[in-house]
Amino acid sequence: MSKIEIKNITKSYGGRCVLDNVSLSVNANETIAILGQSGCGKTTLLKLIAGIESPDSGQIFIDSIDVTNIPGKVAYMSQDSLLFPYKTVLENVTLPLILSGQKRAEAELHAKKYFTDFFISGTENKYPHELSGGMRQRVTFLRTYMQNKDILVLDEPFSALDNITKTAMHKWYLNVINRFKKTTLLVTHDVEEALIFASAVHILSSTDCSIKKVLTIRNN
Amino acid sequence: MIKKFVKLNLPAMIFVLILVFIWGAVSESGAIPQFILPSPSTTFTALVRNLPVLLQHSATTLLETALGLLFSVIFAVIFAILMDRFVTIKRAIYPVLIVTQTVPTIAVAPFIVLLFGYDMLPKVILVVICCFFPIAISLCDGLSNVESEYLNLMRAMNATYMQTLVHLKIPFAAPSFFSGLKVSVTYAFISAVVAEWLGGTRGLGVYMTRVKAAYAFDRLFASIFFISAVSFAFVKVIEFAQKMVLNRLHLDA
Repeated sequence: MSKIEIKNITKSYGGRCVLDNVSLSVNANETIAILGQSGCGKTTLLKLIAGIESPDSGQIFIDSIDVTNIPGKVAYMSQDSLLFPYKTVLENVTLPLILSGQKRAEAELHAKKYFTDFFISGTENKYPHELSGGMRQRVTFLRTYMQNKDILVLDEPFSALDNITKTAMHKWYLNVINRFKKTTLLVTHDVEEALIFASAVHILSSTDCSIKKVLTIRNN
Repeated sequence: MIKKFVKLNLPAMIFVLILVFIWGAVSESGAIPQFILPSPSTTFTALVRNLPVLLQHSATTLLETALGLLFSVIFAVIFAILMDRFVTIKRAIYPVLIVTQTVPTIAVAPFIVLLFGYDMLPKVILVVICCFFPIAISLCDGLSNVESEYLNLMRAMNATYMQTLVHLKIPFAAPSFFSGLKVSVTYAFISAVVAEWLGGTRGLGVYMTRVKAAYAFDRLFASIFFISAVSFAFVKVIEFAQKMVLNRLHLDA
C-alpha cells in the first residue's frame, strides 16, 4: 500500500496550467525526487500535498485517507530557510512543538536531543543571522523534523548553498535519511542531488504540465 | 560619534541659525512691532523666566497626551487585529477611517468639548482621534503584508490565527507599528494643546490663551518653542524605543 497517493491533480493560475492530471505514488520510507525546470510546477505540487494550496481537481491520499486541502499532515520545508529572525535557534526548532500544544520546557528538552545528530550543537541560543548558510539549513531541517510527521516534503532544500557546503550537506543528509526513516518527496532541479537521495525520479515537464518520465534508481 | 553627529546635523543647524537671524533682523528693524513679533532674545528670556510655569502646565498636557497615546495604541491594536482577521470588518472600517482623517481636528474639537465638558476627557479623546488612525492603518498593513511564504509555513504547521499572530504577524508588523506611532506622536502633544485652547483650567493650551489675551507675545512664542521641544522629545523617545525593539527582534525599520 502506498504511503502517498496523488490522483489526477490539476492546477492552474489565472488560466495558465501548471499541473495537468498529475498522478504519482510513494511507498513508506521511500525518498522520491521530483525533477524539473524552474516554473514547471514542482513547488506547486508540494504546496498541494502540504495542503496550503487547493487543486482545481484531483485528490491526495495519505495512508488511504483523503487529505486534499488539509494542512498539517506532512512536514513541509520551503525553498527559503524561513527561520524567524527574532527567535533563537532553539525557539525556531521548537516552534512546531509549541504550536502543537507542548509546554516550552518539554519541547526544548525534546528538541535538544537532536542537536548533535543535526550538527548544530552549541547554537541553541544563537540567532539565525549569526549562523552560516549550511548551519541555517540544518536548523531548518531540524525544525521540519520537529513537526513529527511520517512524510517530509522538501522544496529544493540545498539550492541556496554554495557547492562545497552543498556537497557536505548531501553527505550529512544521507546519514540523516538512514537514521530517521521518513517518506520523503524531494523537489530539485539538480540531477545529481536527485540521484544521491531518491529511489525514483519523477521528471515534471513544463511544456505539458505533467510527469513525463519516471526513472527508478537501482543502487539506492 | 560627536564628529558624526555634527557632520549629519550641521546643515540643519546652519539653516536654523539663518532663520533665527532673519527673525531677529525683522523684529529689530521695527518693520513689525516688537509686541507682535518679539525678538529671539526676548523670547529666549521669556522662556527661561517662565520655565517653571511652563513645566507646571505641561504636566497636565503631558498626562493628556500620554493617556491619549495609550488609548490610541490599545484601540489601534484591537482594530488592526480585527481588520486583519475579518476581511468584512476591514472592508467596513478601513474606508471610514480614511474619511475621518479628512476632517480637521480643530473643526471637531469644539463639538467634543461641548459633548464632554472642560475636564481632561475631551482632550484625551481629541488626542485619540488624531493618533488612532496612523497607528491602526500602519499596524493593519504590517499584519496583512507578512511574507506569504512565512504564512504558508505557519499554515503547513497547522497554526491557528492566534498562533500565527503571536509567533509571526506581530513581530513582523513591529516596524510598521513604530512608523505609525512616530507619526502619531508628532501630533499627539499639539492635539492636546489645541483641545486646551477651547477651555479648561490647566495645561499649555490654557496658558497660551491667557498670555495671548494679555498680549504677552514673548511668552506665547516661548510656549510655542517649548511645545515644539516637547514634541521633538516625544519623537526621539519613540525612535529610541523603536531602535531597541527592532534590534531585539533583529528586524530592519
